[in-house]
Amino acid sequence: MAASAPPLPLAAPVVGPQSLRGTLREVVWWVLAATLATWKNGTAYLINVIRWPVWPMTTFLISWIAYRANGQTTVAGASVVSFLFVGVLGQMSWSNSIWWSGASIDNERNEGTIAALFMSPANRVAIVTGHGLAGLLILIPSLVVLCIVGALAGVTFAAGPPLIVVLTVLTMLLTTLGAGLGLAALFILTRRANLFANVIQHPIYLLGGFIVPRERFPDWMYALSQAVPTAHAVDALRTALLHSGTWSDVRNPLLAALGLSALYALLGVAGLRRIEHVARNSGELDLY
Amino acid sequence: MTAALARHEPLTDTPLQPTPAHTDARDNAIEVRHLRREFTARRGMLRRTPPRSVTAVDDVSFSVPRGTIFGLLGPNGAGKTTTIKMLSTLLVPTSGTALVNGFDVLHQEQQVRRQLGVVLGGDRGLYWKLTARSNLAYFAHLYGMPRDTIERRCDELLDLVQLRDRAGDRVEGFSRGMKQRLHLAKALLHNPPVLFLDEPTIGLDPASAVDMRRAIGELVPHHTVLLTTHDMHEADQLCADIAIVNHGRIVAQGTPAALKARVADQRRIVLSTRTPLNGVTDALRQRLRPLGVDTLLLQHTEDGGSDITVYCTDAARTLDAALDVVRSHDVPLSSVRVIEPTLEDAFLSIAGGRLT
Repeated sequence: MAASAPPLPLAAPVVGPQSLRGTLREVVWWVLAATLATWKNGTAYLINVIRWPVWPMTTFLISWIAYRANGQTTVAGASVVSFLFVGVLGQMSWSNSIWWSGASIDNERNEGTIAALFMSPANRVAIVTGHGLAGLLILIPSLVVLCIVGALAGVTFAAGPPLIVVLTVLTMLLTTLGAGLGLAALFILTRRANLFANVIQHPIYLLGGFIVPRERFPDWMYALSQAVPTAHAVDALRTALLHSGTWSDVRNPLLAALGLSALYALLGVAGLRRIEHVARNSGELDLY
Repeated sequence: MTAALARHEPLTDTPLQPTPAHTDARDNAIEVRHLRREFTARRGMLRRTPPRSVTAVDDVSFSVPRGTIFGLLGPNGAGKTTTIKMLSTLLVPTSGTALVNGFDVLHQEQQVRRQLGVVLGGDRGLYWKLTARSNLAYFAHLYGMPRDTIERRCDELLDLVQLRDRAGDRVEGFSRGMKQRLHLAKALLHNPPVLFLDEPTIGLDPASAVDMRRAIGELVPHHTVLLTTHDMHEADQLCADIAIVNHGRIVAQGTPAALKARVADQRRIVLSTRTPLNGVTDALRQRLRPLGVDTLLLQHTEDGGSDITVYCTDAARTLDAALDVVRSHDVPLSSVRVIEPTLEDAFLSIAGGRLT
């Protein structure tokens, strides 16, 4: 290693930001740093980048074939392909919640970096949010492929006011992150419950109304689906994109999606705090 | 190394303002008082066994003066890593208090984390799919370093640990030694006043271990270092003060010289001959007994010679007397060695003869 130099005075104590502005700036940088690191981690191998679009495309094409085999060309007042196009966006959002935000802390544990992360002053919620944002960036290739396939398949839109469309898209993104925070805490609190994520994935695709309109569900199933925030975001986006939806049309699903997302996010924040408390008390951090 | 550290700038956007706790802190960077940690284990989901309690750390107290290296030695399971985990806020003590750079590990954990750089043994704790530089940059952000200093700081530390030419390579392709060096660079990123190094040379080849030891030695007096290790030579070479931990308790504490002095009776004189010794051992025993020598070992060597090992406290007088006896018996000596007790002797004696 490098040669030594004359002795220096002691390193000074390191004190964090002393103002609210400084604190907020630090949190924003934690989020962005986690986003960049997760993006780099997630795109380290080309095969990862290639495989992401495969999943939503598979859902889109298989569902389309199933509808065609049933002789159906329209569903819930829109063409099947247009209906499925928005539904697959919902599926991508939900997958992001599970596999990027939701699995973030668990991934850190698997990677062996969880102790290093917990020993740093970085806020855990900021880190999970960064993972979620990276997941959204990583969705871009899938989105591009979906648009190409959608165009080839004849997807058509009857969009409402642009502001409403933008609002519904933003709501979908917030829903993705909010649900992700909740799932991150749930998965880690329940000790590797994310191993069930694959199993519950398809029921959630159904409950979310991604492939089948929720209005056709039996009452009990419809009631269950109300707890899936992405389901409301998909309803709002379909209304805005396919049915020229106005504010009064999208207001209720938007508010439901945002409200549920906020609830999931709050549960996530509380859960992540609880994890830290439990991990520090039990000494089982490496197991979480 | 210290030259690189000197160029580091303040890490905050506001002037440093130590908290009252820090102001009150004396010249010790680490203060541990009556630290205790129990683990309670339960087994079975349906028929749960009664909780079984294990005390990993029991009434441990020590202080580490600023700018020094303090060693925690002990066999596996002695409680060293548990102590480090409590001091680095990963684990809550069952009782007792600990201050790191004046901040309480229990109630000021965020501040404690900012004072600390930690190297945990083993090669985990890095993002293997990221490059060395990306790892450092990420952790620099997590520790709130100013963005305009991060790149320069990463370069300095990559130079320091001699990984500059591999900065753009993924960590997954690094050897154990390279990962360990990167760990050290990561720990130094935010120029922390206190460093915890948990078995930093474990698994390293001899050359890498020497490099790592040299680097650790250069951390003081700029930093305060708490070092755990199994390597007695390393502890002897680096630590100003050492605590030997066994079964969760500190069983001995002092400077390496003081600990070795506790086993001064294990100083040895080895007389080697190329001929068998006839009657010399009895004569030696008689002559040396008045000098307090009780133990004398005779070993026959493969070349037909003998080694006589004499355990003594006063090497000079014992050697004179032993040489008189050997000469009087006309035995030609091939070598005479005086072996001073090592820290390992002290450790084995104090920790009950168990190194791992």
